[in-house]
Amino acid sequence: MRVLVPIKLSYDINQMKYDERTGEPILDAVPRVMGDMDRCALEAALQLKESLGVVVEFISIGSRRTHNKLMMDAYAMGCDKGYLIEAEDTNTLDAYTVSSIIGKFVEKYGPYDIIIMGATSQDTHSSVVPPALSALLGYRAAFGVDKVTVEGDVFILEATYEDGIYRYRLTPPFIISVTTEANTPRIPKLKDILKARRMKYEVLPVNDLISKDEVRKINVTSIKKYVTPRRREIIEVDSEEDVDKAVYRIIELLKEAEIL
Amino acid sequence: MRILTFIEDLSWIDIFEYFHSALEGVEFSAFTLDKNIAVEVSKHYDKVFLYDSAFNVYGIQSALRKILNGDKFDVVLAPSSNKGRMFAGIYTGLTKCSIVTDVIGIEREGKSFIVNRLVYGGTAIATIHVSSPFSLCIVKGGYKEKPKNRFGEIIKIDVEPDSGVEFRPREVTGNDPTSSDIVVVAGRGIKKKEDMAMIEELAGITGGAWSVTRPLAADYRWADQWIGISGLIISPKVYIAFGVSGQPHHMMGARASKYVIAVNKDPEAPIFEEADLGIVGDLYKILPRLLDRLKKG
Amino acid sequence: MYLEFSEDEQLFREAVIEFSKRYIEPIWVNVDEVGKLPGDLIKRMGEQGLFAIPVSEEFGGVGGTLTMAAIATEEIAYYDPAVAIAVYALLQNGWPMALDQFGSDEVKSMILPEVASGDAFFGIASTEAHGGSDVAGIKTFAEKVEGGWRVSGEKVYISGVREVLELPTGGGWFFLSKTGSRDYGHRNISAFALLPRWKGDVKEGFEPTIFDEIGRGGLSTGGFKLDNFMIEDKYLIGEENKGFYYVMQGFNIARILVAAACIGSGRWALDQAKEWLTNRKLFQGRKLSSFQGIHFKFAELYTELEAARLFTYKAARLADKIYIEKKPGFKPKDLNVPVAMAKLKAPETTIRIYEEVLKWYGAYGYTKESNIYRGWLGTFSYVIGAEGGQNIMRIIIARDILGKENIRS
Ligand SMILES: Cc1cc2nc3c(=O)[nH]c(=O)nc-3n(C[C@H](O)[C@H](O)[C@H](O)COP(=O)(O)OP(=O)(O)OC[C@H]3O[C@@H](n4cnc5c(N)ncnc54)[C@H](O)[C@@H]3O)c2cc1C
Ligand SMILES: Cc1cc2nc3c(=O)[nH]c(=O)nc-3n(C[C@H](O)[C@H](O)[C@H](O)COP(=O)(O)OP(=O)(O)OC[C@H]3O[C@@H](n4cnc5c(N)ncnc54)[C@H](O)[C@@H]3O)c2cc1C
Repeated sequence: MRVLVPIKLSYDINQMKYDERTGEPILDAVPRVMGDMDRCALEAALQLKESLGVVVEFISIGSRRTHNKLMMDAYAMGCDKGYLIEAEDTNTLDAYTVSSIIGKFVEKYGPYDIIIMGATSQDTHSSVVPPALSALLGYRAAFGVDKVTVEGDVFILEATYEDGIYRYRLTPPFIISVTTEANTPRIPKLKDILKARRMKYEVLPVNDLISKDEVRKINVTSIKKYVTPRRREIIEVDSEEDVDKAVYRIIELLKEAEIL
Repeated sequence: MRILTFIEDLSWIDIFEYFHSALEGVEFSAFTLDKNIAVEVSKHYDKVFLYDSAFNVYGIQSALRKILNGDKFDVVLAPSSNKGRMFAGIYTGLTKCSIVTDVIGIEREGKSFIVNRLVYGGTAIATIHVSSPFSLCIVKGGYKEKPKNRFGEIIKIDVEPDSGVEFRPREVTGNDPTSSDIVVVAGRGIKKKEDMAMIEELAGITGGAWSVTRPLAADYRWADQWIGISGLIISPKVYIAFGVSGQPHHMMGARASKYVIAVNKDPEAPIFEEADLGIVGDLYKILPRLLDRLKKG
Repeated sequence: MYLEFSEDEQLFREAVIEFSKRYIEPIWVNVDEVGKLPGDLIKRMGEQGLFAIPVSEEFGGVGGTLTMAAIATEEIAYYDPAVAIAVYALLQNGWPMALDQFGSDEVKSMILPEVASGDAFFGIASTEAHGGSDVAGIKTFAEKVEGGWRVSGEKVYISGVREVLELPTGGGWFFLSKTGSRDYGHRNISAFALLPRWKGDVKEGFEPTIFDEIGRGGLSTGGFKLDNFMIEDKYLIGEENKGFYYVMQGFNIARILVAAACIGSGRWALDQAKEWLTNRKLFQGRKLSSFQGIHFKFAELYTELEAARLFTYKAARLADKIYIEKKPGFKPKDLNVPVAMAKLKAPETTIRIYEEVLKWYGAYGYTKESNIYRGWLGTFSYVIGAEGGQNIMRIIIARDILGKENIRS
């Protein structure tokens, strides 16, 4: 069985930096990392490698200059083969383009029995690449999976949505996306990091998969730090009287909001 | 503009109505998985597609393929919830349209539209140009419009659901952060599970609901839902947080609240940046006193 | 030199941080308190590849670099500022590397894989009661006999005595003894791999003792007496009477890691201080950090720590060129001054940091609850002299820069 894990190099949004004056993000100064959920997707695949002997392959879209560490990271975790679809400015590709690149890759280099993705990317958080890909490929699917168990040929996949828990029973081929509940990713061992340094990944130009006019960029006209207009009244509590003052202000606000 | 909406629950009717107007729609269709919702929705739509099944991706793929055989849409609207994103994502894969998630506003500009969306964990707003066809996943917010009366027919879509989908509804506890006027939220500043009693008590006294941040739900299992981008998106009148640092992933679920009150002992906690009232202090001093005052009336 | 880690070093650093957050941060206080490293942690560290990092793969090591061992030590010390776990790791990297450089293939392939897995310990035993700084004055004597050496003497303040007795395989030390003659001097010192316990009972003629220390509780320090203890020929490291030459290189390697442990712990202390100073308010709401007397000091210590860090990694990079890449033109003695500077700077800076931070914390710092004192006591071992006293570092720098003949009194 062949398993494919698409991984994305995301901006670490906990370290976002904005230009004080213009409010625009300074992306060059923001570290980029493999998203937590993508790491869980790799872990889920590697667990299948251990239990079922599947071959784990991974793919990312980006440039050698920026993505080398990400590729090494996936190898160090234990993946068998990596592909880098070479493209610049990948964070402005629209979700459909990302899905269709992965979809074309699957058609050309597949077949894959299982595709495992992160439920959502760490920076853009759209969660739409996995469902769009499932529709493109016509695969069965389960998204936002918290728990993967295997019973014979059947994969039991549990996902929690707003209204409750869904349990899907799927047989390959299928595509799933996993959350950080699904597992605790392994930490790459130094020996494997050193080995990964020497492992080659295949680099495919994006236009081998989709033509130039199919590459759709999203048309972002501006991007600015989000500031909600808030009153920002701050009470520093240093003494007992301050506690009373704070409680008094909370109650006043609750009255103003017509809660009390 | 022919618009198709994915209706997860009835609270979305008013919100989508606002977008119907903003988009200058002319034909309104809805898609739902629930019979009762279908009946209610049909009063305000031209057409309601009912796929009577537990949510499953493969079934929705097939259902949409069937619908798209006869109907065409210029815009698809869905909630920025788990299922809404999946629905819109599948639609995008089938039709190659553009998609924008986490939408918080829209404006017409000539023949196309300007959409505001949250990005980078809700720390930034991106303004994006789209022209139809496109899908939007919308963050629950202040926008609402009274729905117009229409008389839609309900069209049942019969497609096989995925073999073996089982659904276990969440226990109905009466604690519903998405529909309460005040939500009391506990973060990791709450040190012990027993202390959650104070949070629940405050919710009780104020007639609201309570919730938590992700670590308390996912790691400690003190609750089965949390507020934030990967949990619930809420828009109460008052969001009041105790021991919540205010990381972007969490705040994205709370930003639509009318008032934000935060109690945190760290003056540098990012939550103070977006609070109407920020109390820098020990929640273990402030919360008991607050409960005490409220009980005394 | 601009300090930047390569991509594999960055990945490794992230992995060590994740490991330390998961397995070390939650237990470091307890380890310090109870005074024992949990066996499962040692095993896990072995599996993760945190021991024998700069040891060649051929002999069971990880095949990494001393820079990587320094990264591991620094980050472990950040999450275990009391440094017992960090010191355990540094010993398990430094001295196995020295053995890898100078030992025979037979002994290396026996010892190093067991050290790498965490089943055995391999440290350094040079100090004797007369004074550890004076290596040339050691009294332990090995007499050549048929098939080996008969050794008698006593070593004190040796890390890892209990670990050798308790680990699954056991282990021992890079061990120094006089050979040939008992005269004062360094031309009659030989190095051996001394293994008092290896897959079985403690060998005859080895009498261990354990000391009770004030800090870095998780790692034992003890001593042992050798009474006609037999060491087989194969355990001689390198050539007879060249031991002093080998051990000095071993110290150079280990001292780099000592410096790394100190800067990790010091960085933790400054991070604690940052929280404290920016939160605590006095005199009608002024933050402690707003007093110039405090923030000037903070800035100074922060700068000193960064300097120590640069010294440390500069020395590590140079050591890699000499021992790992074996680049022509780089000689072991080139390391003397860079290492001595790192070992001089890092522990002293860290102790100064702790002394200030403890004062900034006020009475709370003096309580056991604050845990700051644990880092202070732990790293203090390195200004006292573990792996070489501070004045020895001054002597090395002065000797190599001013010239041996110009510093004699
Ligand atoms: C300011 C800004 C606004 C944007 N707005 C939009 C928008 O409105 N509409 C739009 O279509 N796009 C938009 N994008 C593009 C966006 O960055 C994404 O490329 C795209 O939407 C895919 O969504 P996602 O990254 O959130 O992935 P998700 O759908 O959340 O991704 C889930 C999983 O898919 C896989 N995956 C995603 N991307 C890749 C990749 N490049 N390589 C390998 N695997 C991958 C990973 O496993 C990932 O965890 C915007 C970008 C920016 C910078
Ligand atoms: C992909 C992804 C998705 C995520 N989605 C979500 C999400 O949907 N929702 C979510 O909540 N999180 C989410 N997270 C996690 C999020 O990034 C934060 O880690 C989380 O919100 C922090 O929770 P917290 O505020 O409770 O804890 P912390 O960040 O640890 O904050 C605790 C706060 O309590 C304060 N405090 C401590 N003691 C006291 C006291 N006695 N009195 C007053 N204050 C005190 C501290 O000063 C601190 O600010 C996500 C993370 C990722 C990577």
